[in-house]
Amino acid sequence: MEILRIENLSFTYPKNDKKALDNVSFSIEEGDFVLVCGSSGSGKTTLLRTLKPEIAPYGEKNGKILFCGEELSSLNSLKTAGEIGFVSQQPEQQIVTDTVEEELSFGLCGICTDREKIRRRVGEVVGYFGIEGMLGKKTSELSGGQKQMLCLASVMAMNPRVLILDEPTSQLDPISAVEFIFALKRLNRDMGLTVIISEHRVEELFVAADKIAVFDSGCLISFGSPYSVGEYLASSPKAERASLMLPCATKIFRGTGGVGRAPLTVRDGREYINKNFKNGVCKKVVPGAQAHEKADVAVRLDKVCFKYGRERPYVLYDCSAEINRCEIFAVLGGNGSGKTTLLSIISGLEKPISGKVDILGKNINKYKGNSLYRGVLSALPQDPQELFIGESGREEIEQVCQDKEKAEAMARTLEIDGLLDRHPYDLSGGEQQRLALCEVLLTEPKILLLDEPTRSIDAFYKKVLAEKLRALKNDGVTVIMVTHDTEFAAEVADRCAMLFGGELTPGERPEEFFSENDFYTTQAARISRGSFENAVTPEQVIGLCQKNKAMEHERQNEKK
Amino acid sequence: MRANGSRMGDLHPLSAAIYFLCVLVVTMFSGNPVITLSGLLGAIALFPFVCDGKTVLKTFGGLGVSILVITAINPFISHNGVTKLFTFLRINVSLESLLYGANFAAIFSAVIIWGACMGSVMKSEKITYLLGRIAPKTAMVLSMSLRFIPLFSEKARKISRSRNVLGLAEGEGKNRLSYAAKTFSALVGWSLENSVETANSMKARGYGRSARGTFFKYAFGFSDVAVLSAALLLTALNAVGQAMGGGFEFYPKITAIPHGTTDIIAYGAFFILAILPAVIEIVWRIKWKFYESKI
Repeated sequence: MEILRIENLSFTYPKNDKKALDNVSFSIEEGDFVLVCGSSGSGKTTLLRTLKPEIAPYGEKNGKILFCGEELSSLNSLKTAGEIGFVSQQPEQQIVTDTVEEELSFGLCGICTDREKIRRRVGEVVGYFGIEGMLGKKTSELSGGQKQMLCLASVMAMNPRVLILDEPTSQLDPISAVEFIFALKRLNRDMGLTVIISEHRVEELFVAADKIAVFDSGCLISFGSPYSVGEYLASSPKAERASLMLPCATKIFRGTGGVGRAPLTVRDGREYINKNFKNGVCKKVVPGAQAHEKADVAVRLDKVCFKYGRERPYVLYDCSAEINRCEIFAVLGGNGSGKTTLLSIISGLEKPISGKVDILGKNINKYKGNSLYRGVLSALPQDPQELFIGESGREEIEQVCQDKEKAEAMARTLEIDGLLDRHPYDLSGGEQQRLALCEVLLTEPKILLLDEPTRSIDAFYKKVLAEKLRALKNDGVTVIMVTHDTEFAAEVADRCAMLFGGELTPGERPEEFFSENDFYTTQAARISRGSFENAVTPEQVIGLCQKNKAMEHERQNEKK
Repeated sequence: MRANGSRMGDLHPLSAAIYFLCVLVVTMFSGNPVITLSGLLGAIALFPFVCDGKTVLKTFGGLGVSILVITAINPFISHNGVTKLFTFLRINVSLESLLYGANFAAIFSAVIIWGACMGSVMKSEKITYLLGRIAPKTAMVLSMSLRFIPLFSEKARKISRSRNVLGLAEGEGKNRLSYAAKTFSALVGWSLENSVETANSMKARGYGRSARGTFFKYAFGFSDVAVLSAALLLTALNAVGQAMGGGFEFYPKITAIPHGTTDIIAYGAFFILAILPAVIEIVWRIKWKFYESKI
């Protein structure tokens, strides 16, 4: 049954000439799992909000939206509030009340006054989502992932027919994100719930979705099954940017000139490589020359111990590391493993209980006043909003860099030059992250600390950021980043280390680090394990495949 | 729905709220030193049972200092007493003003400690439960603002830290002031921005219709009836006793503490009222020990 039908929908924001949505038409069947993707600012959020009348944006709207055959705007608000559920990207701000129970029952209390019924429904969702542990807690005590799960449970308690989610996992770490998406898949499968979700991190969803809608500057450029959309993205010149978000297996398939049906999952990718490229002799990526064997040490941690309170557990225990000058060092690790704490120790915001921190060969305590933060060290916080106190993006970047041209140039590299006159809070999540990055990069430090730099950034800007970081490295900057993004770390880092149990493992090259990890690794490494020894990025896999193919050719020619 | 490990926390919100209100009102408005002392004693006895040790010690320390300071300062502010003790900096220090200060400080401390106990026992969901029927909107605003205060202060701390690392530190003197003003305006902007998102989330979930259900359910059991009736009876007894008994004045000359039969009854009633929760907690813990030994 057709549950949502959109006909020639166009939308323009007030005081804006450009259409945010331009003549969009598609239809969604009941029980579909629909992924809406596209680069930031392509109209995903506008579309999803227009589908939810209570929070639809103000502006000029043309075209029709039919919900179960009836025009959406003509429906009773009681019906739409309950039947169309909405979850946005900010777990923190979506939570209204102080305690978990109140939050779970918040929506229900509005549509139903029978207390026994409310309690029964809440009991049901608590059981289904397995969140008994959260009961009795204050909402402020929950982690980001728990908060988002609470939002979902609270919406599901109202028993919606359609669930709309606007980048629900963009503020979450990958493990919580996967858990969240798994919960969605389960709802879709168990309840036949129609799910419409927008995401920039699409690796898992690309395969899971029934239908994918790809947006580019307000236009729907492709709509259909994952295979057909994958096909389109890989072949159409119009979708060059969007094609960066294809699953790794498809990228490898396209990169090696595969023909026919492109693989989407890791499993299909492995099969493809095993079948076509395994017999090659070339199994190993030749790593680039080891960067300066005996380089200067930029940051040295010597047996650092740290905890947040006398009775609290140690966050860092006996943690030692040497990070060389001019290298990109990535720290990976699970949630709450102390990665952010490690950065605040290096940046001097927290003092270790015991142990020593040397920055550029000088003890961190010897940097008097603010001298450490003037040209030596700079950090990107986890939440970009922590940096913004100005009225516009321009004011923000000019307070760190007096040279206006330089500031402009940096803004242009990150493609936020057109947004500088807007208030920072009016930017989307990805744009805010880029503005914060721009600000941090403009301080021109010798040591750059980045906390989750790729959070809410789409595939295209990840590439831009990777190039920028490499350029900085060549200019002599040391980059230390804390990240969950294994793909990004594999692509840019010189060395990777894992933080676990308060200790940092010795740094290894990404080729060794990720090929030895079984779980905490990249898609490319999973796909090529067994066939190749140490290929961890799609480019490396493609390179090896091509080499093998060429050798195969030579061998056959010799035989003849 | 047990909030913390205390028996008081198990009570129905209505009983607990009325109990605390009774004790607070009597302690605040009586002015009789015997009542003040009983109130303070009851509060001190209950405090360790409902709050953690750290809070208790901190509060006791702070209040000890303020008792001394208030007592010492009062004679210099009020010159009403007639029983002159000594002259200090050409100001006559009288016995009455000194004692009045001490009594006032004790009332102040008792109210603070009772307030802290009440805050720990009456968790936010209980307040919203009580108010939810009479004033649902107020209850909603209360629940939201309770959530907002910790968010706000945490955010202020983070902004200052993150900017510090970028070399955008507070600066000195005048700069510092303008920086603080800017941070504050950013915080206000941030909270407004967030409240838009929160309001959206409320609207999306259909908030705004008049009738609202509630989730919470508290059983009104025997102990609730017992505490509620004890609170009301003892307070009434105390009020009548004090009204009929002798009066007590600090100024101009301190009078003897009234000790007729009615006064004694009034004191007794209030003492029992004030010490009741501590007794309940102790009895409950002894009972638990007994149960545990059986297990």
